[in-house]
Amino acid sequence: MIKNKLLYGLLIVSLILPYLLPQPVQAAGSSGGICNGPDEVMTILVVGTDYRGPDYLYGMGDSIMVLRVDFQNKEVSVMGFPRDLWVVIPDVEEDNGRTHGKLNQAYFFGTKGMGYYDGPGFGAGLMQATFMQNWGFEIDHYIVINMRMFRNVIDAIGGIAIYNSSPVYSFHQNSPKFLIGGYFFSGNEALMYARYRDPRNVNDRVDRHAKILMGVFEQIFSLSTIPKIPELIGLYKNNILTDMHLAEISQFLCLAARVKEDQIQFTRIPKDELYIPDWEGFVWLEKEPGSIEQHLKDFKAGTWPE
Amino acid sequence: MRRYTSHLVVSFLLIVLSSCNVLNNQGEILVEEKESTPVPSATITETPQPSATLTPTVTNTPTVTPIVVLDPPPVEINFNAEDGQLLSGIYYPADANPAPLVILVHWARGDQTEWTEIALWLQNRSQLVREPNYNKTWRSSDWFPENSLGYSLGVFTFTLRDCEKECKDYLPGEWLLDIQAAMDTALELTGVDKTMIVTAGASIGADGAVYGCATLNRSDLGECRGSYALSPGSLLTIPFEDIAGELFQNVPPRPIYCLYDVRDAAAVETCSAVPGARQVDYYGYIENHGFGLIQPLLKPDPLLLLLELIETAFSE
Repeated sequence: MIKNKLLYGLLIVSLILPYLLPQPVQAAGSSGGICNGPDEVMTILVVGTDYRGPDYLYGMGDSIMVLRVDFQNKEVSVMGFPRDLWVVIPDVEEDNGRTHGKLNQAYFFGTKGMGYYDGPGFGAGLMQATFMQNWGFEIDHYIVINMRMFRNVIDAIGGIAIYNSSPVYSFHQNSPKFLIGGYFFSGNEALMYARYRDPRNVNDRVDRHAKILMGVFEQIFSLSTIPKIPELIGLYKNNILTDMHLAEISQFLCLAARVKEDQIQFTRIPKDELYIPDWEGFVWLEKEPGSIEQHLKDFKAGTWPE
Repeated sequence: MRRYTSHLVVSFLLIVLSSCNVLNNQGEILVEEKESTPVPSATITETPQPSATLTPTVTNTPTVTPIVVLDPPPVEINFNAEDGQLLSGIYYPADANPAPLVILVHWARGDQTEWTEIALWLQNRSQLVREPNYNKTWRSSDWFPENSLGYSLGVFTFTLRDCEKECKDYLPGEWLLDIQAAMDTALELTGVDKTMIVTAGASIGADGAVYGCATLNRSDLGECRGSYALSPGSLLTIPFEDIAGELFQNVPPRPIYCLYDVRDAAAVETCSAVPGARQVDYYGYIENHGFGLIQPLLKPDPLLLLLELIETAFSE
């Protein structure tokens, strides 16, 4: 008799138990996306600064890229931007007196040392605001790395392999600094490769930065580095600037590990859509106003590059 | 109308249940106490359980369950993750049944054998490794502190997928599945007291240990009493503080120990985000991460802290 009562009781309890027990906390960020990533596409601004100091007090945004990370479709794409692109820089006119500048200056004016920008994220924050102001493009997160940390990180992962597909010239020099061919760079060599600049060739440098990023990806996910990933994150988390939570970094690395190198899409603004106006100093403008905005829309939607 | 009817039915049944004394006034299930370690959960969820742990009222198995104490040598256990991935584990049985169990999760620089010496030390059945291994910071079990618990623990280790010797792929999403499978498997090991489980881990394993503990407590199949984390870093795609917060919301709240080197920025950030955990920081000669924190010279001794966590967790 008692046994029957117990069984009936347990049957009913099994029906109402979910309402009696405390519900577990849903882990933030967990969703139907791969690697517990968000359902929506994530965009990350990646800035390499030319600051030589150990911190991020000053510096120009020398290398500017936007990563598009799609956890639903397992896609990573990268769009590079020329540092000399002429843009409206918001929020600094009151203190700085300027409304326009090069894209790399958008980072500079926002740095803590300059003190013009009081929004979140300092230089990266102002650059995010600049993307929004000029092209209506919202960027979710940022990662900023200075020259010292760039060298250190590449050395820590054991160097990077790249294939240089065209000769690299330096400003005002006729002999190439890097010939066509394969290279395995230390941190310092990679920095040199990234920094050589011919202002007349707007895309050459952007392409080299993409190659370096690719080399870093390849090396991070090489057999020798994978076991060190947790320690590397620990070592460098405080030495780069980012607003990404560690779990978001982990989600991104998890996805990146699954995307084959040849599936990562690199793109930039097509050279024939930009021109150098007859101004003092090298700046670049878009020929057709609105073309960059459209590219960014398509990039975010995942329809460009095809 | 249908809704009212169902409400009426549920109300009626609740009254019947109350009159049968099946529910107490907190809505908890009351079961007649049969032995010192009650295992009513198997009956409630109808989840298949090893016959050794089923209560006699439901299964009609003999009222006296034969107690099988396994020999000290470790037992290899193979099991599958939810997606079918075959995983290997090692069970270090305790010297009495039912015994508390410690589940150990390794880091990316090695596999489950990273835990061998510590597992044998926790097992406490005179199986210590005396042969020095110069790949490990502790070399051998010789310098380990005395196991002050005074009893033998069951210990379960396992290797995450693609991590034989060291991890060859970065698969945090899949590792979560592996950890869940390991927790399920651990509950079925001979002689394990399902209500007395503690997890411990290093680096990715630290995140995994806390995750495993929290997920076990989401079910009523077993009870994880606490977790010990060496250098966690939200490395398994889920914020460590969310999972730790879940353990703190358990009744009673489960203790967490969070150990880190002050130069390990990710671990510092992660442990700091969990103020309810016991936080222990270290500053050694070099930056130490994960198993690197288990060293003879570090004070307080991380292994004594592990014993302390186990003692605290099992005494609640």
